[in-house]
Amino acid sequence: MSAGTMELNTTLDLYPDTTVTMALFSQVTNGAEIRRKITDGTIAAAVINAQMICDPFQVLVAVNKAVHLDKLDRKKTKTVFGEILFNLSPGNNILAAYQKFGVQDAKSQDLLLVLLNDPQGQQLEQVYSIIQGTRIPLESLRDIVDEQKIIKLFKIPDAERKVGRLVDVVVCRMATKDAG
Amino acid sequence: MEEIPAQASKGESGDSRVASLFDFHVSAASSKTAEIPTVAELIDTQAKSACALGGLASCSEGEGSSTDGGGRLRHPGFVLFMQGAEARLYRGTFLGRPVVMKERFSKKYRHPRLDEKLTTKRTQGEARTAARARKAGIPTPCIYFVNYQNNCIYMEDMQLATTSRDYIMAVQSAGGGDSFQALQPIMDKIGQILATLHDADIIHGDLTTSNIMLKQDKTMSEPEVVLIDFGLSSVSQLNEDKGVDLYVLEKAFLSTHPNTETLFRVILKSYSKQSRKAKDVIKKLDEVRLRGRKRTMVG
Repeated sequence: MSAGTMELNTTLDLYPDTTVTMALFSQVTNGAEIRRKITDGTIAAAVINAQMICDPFQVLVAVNKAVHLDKLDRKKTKTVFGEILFNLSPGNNILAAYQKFGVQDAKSQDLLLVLLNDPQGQQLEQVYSIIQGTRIPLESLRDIVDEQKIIKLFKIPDAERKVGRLVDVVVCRMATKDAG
Repeated sequence: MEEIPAQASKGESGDSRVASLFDFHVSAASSKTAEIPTVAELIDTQAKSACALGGLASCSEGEGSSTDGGGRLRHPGFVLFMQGAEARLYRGTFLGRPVVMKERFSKKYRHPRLDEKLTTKRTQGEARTAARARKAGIPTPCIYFVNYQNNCIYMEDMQLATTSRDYIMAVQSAGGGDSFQALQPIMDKIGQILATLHDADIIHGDLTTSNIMLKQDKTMSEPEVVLIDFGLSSVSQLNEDKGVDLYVLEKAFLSTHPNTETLFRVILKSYSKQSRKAKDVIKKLDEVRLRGRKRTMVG
């Protein structure tokens, strides 16, 4: 892997015909427009508030679960992309999930883009042209992430923080959310 | 040996662990001065012998029927490595990380609807309690994904870890008189973790030395105790339930590892020191011991 990975392209082990593409954009200024285009369907992607992501693995786990439920037609939300945002959230309130993990009301924000089944990069090109921001390597996530915000939202006690890295704590919460 | 080995196999101990142990015994016997291995050394030895056995393990057909009726692999990319009474364990990769996948299979003798409900309930319960344990600060493998369709749990594969069962056996076979010294700090840690668990009102339900693992990688100066297999766990504040939890461990401990009464006492001592509610739990443990098999309720 080169010093800066501009995008991550991988497949899901359990769903090998699904490819996942991730790209990171910094200082995006047209959040409202992006949000509109997601709602009307022009953008078919998960656009995630990068501050809440400590590691791409966290997103991949959310994607895996979203695709899994999509195939079973058991999603809680309407689209697989909405489901990704919902899976990232600790709670069961869909609107809250979109508000915390989706595009923010901010003049400038960092956004993580997730596309599915775009091996040739066509969708990425299209979305790239809409987003007004700078493409940066995925490694920069560690500088963007706001760990305190994550700890506060997930209500992670000190005891649990000692058990593993933040990404593991968050992922375990995500995975066991619907176990009760 | 009567029921305890069966209990042990209800969890995840099985043939492959014994096989790796024999490898170690051979090497211990051949060395002139059998030294007591550290946890890290045992993990290393087991990893090496696992590599040697790796060729056999990659054949996924055969035991445990990891293929569906048509002979296709049910879990492509995953390799079966253990089969217990309730579940099969596989190793594989998931989103770039090494994982262990626990598949609870259906019991054909049960009524199908009941079976479905029971199996899902067990899977759910295991995931829920493991999460609860982590919140309380108990090290346990991180769960990455739970598939409620086929009752599979995908979790962190702790590659640099061994069971306390294997370690106790290795130390005892090598150490002779010094075993106690070597094992005491481990027992101490186990006591602490159990105290933390019970203080959080979590009952493990299947405490055996195969379910208490020891993890040590290069960044760690001391091994860490990790609990696995929360399949039979529950939540309870009752001292009785906690006492029984300890009793189950005591029975499993003493029957798997002969002459370890003093070692087990270290666990209880450490437990008492760490837990605020320990006194009442130990009292219950004494009561349960009196109630046990072949005990006259006289006096």
